[in-house]
Amino acid sequence: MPRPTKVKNQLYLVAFDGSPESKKASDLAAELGNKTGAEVRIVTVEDLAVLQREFGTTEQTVRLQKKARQGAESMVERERARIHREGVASSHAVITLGPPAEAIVKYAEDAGADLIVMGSRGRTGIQRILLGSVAARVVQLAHCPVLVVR
Amino acid sequence: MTPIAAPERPLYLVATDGSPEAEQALDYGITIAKRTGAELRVLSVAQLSDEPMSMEPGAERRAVRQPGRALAEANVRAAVGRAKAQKVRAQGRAVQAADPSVGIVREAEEVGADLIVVGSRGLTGIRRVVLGSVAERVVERAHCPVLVVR
Repeated sequence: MPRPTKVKNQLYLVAFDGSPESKKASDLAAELGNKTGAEVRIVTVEDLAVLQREFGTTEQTVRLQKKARQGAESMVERERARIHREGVASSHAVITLGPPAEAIVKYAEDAGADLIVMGSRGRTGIQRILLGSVAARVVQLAHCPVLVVR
Repeated sequence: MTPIAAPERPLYLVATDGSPEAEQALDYGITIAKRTGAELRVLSVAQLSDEPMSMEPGAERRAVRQPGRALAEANVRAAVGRAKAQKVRAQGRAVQAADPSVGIVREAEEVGADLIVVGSRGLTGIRRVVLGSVAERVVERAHCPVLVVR
């Protein structure tokens, strides 16, 4: 039987927002990543421009942006550390420009991601909403497969 | 939610309509099934319709929207064959439903699938604009994770 050629390491992107569903998404990504040898990257979108639009260009805005960015960084780093304990290669990133779905799709393309994994709803939590707008849009726009978890 | 790596063999439901996209979805399903030790269930949904009830044996069918029954069964056989050629356990069947997404979700529940794999587009063509693609409707209704392949 011919020896399989080495393939470059795959990259799974988890679109994370701290919600219970997105934790399920990173758990599933970690499980799959463990079996396939893929790297799992936890990413979140923290649109800093929103703060600028809300408060204008002031010192206070800059402080708020810094805080928001730091909050996002520690959130994804915590999640990365959590899944890393399961033995999967992991990394994290914060995307600082939205809107969320387009930002995730573009990041996935630029990073050469092989798979996007995300929760179906995110922080909304409203049961009536079958599929959140961000997940729906990522499924529509992505250039790679998308695994939607609920 | 049942974790994918449960002690017993995971089960992935792969939906096909015979389109090139569905073939890609099947190949992806086979690839991850190989890595995770999963078994595949293939489902082709034939349209419940105004199709003539009997078809002359050997008649050619053009797959326009959804495959007719005979074509659906041929799709399933081919898909199962493909999986088995890669040493992945697989079975499949063709069912009829007015809405393929309903048929797919129902089958996933009946067989206890841990994951549904679908192509993002398939043969639906223009209906997609109005109703949303079959993939999106599966993502909305499914009780388990859904992998949308493109």
